[in-house]
Amino acid sequence: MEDLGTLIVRELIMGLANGMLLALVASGFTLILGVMNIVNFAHGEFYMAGAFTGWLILLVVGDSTFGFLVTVVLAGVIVALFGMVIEAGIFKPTHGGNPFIPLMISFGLSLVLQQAALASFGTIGKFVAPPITATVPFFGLEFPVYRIFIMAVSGLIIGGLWIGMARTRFGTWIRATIQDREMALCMGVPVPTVYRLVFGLGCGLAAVSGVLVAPIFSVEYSMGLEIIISAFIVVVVGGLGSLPGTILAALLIGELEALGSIFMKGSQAQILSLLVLMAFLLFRPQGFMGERGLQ
Amino acid sequence: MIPVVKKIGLSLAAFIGACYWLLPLREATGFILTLAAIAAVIGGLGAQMRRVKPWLAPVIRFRFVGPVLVVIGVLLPMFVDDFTLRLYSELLILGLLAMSLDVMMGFLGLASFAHAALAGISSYAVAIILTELDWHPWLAIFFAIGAGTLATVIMGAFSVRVRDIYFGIITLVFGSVFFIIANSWAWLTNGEDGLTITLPVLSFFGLFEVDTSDLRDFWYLSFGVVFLCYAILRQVMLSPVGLVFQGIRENEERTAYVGYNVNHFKILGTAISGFFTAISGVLTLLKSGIIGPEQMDALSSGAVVIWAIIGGLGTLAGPLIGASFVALLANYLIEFTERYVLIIGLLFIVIILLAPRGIVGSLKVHWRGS
Repeated sequence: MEDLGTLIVRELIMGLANGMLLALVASGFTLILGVMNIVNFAHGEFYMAGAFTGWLILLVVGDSTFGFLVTVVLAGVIVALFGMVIEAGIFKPTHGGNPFIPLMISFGLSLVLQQAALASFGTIGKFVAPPITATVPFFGLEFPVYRIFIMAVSGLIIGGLWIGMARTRFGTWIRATIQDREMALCMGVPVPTVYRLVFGLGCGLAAVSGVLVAPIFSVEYSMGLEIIISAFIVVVVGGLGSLPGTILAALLIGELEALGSIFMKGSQAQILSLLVLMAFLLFRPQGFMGERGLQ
Repeated sequence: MIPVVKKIGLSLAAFIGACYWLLPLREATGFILTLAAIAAVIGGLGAQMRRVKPWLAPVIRFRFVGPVLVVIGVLLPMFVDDFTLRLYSELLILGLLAMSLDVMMGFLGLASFAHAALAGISSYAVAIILTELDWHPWLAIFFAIGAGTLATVIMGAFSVRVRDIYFGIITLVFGSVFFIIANSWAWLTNGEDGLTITLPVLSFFGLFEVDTSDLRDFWYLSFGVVFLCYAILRQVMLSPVGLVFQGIRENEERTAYVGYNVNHFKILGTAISGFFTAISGVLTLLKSGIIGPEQMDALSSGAVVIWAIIGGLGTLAGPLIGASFVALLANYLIEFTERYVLIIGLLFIVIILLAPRGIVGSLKVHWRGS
C-alpha cells in the first residue's frame, strides 16, 4: 500500500502530463477565439477526430515509437487540413458578422461530428497500445516513461508555438490580427488567410493532443465533450484570448483534477474545477492574464 | 390584386402539399402539419387582407388566436386517443422549456447551454422531496420551482461577469457539473437509476382535482399551464422590461448609457427564464414520474437550443413550434435511422446559415415585411 505522500507526488506528475495535453487543446481554442472571435464548441470534436485518425493510421503503421511519432504529426496535419476545409465551408460566410452565429454553427458542428463518429466507429472505445511501455523507478514507485514522452512532445510543441508567435512573420500576423483586425488588414496582413491557417493550427493542436492521449484513455466518440468542459474552464481562468495565461491555467487545472482524483472518483474532480472557475469569476473575471473577458 | 392571388395560391399549395405529406406520416405528425398548414393559410390570408382591408388585420392577433387555441385545447381530448394526447402534452412541455430559453437567448442575447440541466434540477427537487420527506405535493412543487429558479439565478449571476459571447461557455460548464452531480451523488439522486415517484393528485383550492396519472387530466394541466405561461411571457416581453431586454441584445453599451443597470436586467432575465424552466421541469416529472440523469446531459441541453433556433429566436411562439417540429421530426426519423441527431444537426447548421431567424421569424418577415 502506497502512503499518501507517494500518491500525491505521483498524481502531481500525472497531472502535469494531463495539464500539458489540456494546454495543447486549450491554446488552439484560445488562438481561434482571439483571432477569429469564434467560441469553437466543436474544438473537442477535432481532438476526438485526431484520436480516431491516429488510431486508423496506427492500424497501418503498427506500433513502434517512431511510427507513433509519425502518426502524431500525420494526424495533426490531416485534422488541420480538415479544419481548414470546414472553416472555408461554413465559417467563412459568417466572418465579421454577429459573433453569435459562428458560436451556434460550431455547436451544431460539434453535434454532427460527434454523431458521425458514433455512426462510423460505434460506442465501444478503441484501444491504442502505448508506444513506450517501460517504467522508471521514481520515489519508490514505477513511473511510466510514456507520461514523460507526452510531457516532452507537448512541451516541444508549446515552446515551438511560443517562439513561432514571437519570432516568425506568421506569428506577427496573428498578433496583429488579435490586436486590431481592420488595422491589420490595412497594413497588408492577409487576414482571411490568417483566419484559415489559425483555424487549421488550432484543430491540428487539438488533434495532436488527441493522439497523445489515446494510449492512456480509450478512443471514444464522447471524448471531445469531456475535454471541452475542462478546456472552457482553462480558457476563462487563464484570461480569454491570452496564450500564456491559458497554458498556466491548463497546468493548474490539470494538477487540481489529478489531486482531486485522489479523494473523489472519476469525473467528480470537475466539480473542483467549477469551484475554481466560480472563484475566478467572482474575484478576477479577467483571468490570470488579459482583459478581453471583461465587459 | 395579382400578388394577393399568388400568395393565397402559394399558401393553398403549401396546405395541399402538407395534406399530401400527411398520408404516409403518423397520425400525430399529420395533425400538427395540418394545424401548421391551416395557420399558414389563415395567417397568409390575414396578412393579405390587412393590406387590402385593414379591418380584417386583427384576425391574426393573439387576443383572437388565444381564445381559439383555448377552445381547441379544451375540445381536443374528445377527438384524439390517449397515446396522441400524451404526445401532445409532452410537446407542450418541451415547448415551454424552449420558450423559457428564448427569454434569455432571443430577448437578452445570452446563450444558455444548460436549460435541460436546470429543468432537471426542479424535477429532482420534486422527486427528492416527495420520496424522502413526504411533503404535501403543492409544497414540493413550489419548493422545486424556487430551487430551479435559484439555480438559474446563481448560474446567471456568475456568467454575466464575462462578455456575452463567453456566457454560453460558462453555462455549459455549470450544466455539465449539474449533470455530474445528478449522475454521481447517489445518496441524494440515486445515481444513474434516477428516482421514481407515485404521481400525485393535485387539488386546486378544493374546487377541482387533477389526477396527474390520468392522461386527460394531465393534458388539461399541461395545456393550461403552458398557455398561461405563454400569455404571461408575452405580456412581460411586450412590457418596458422586455424592451430593455431587447435593447441589451441590440446594443449593451448604449442601453447602459441610457441609464439602465445592464447586469441587473440580465440577472432579472435569467430569473424569469429560470422560473419557467423550473415549471417545465416539474411538468416533465409529473408526466411520467421518472427522472434520471440522462435528461440533464449536454445533448439534452443542446437540443433545447436547437428547438429554439429552428423555431425562431425572439418570437416566443417560435420555440414552442420549433420544439414540436424537431421532436416530431426526430420521432419520424428514428424509424429509419438510429443516428437521427446527425440529420437534425445538419438541418440546424443549414437553418443558421440560410435562415437565422428560424421558422416563425422568417414567416413574420415574410408577412409583415419587417
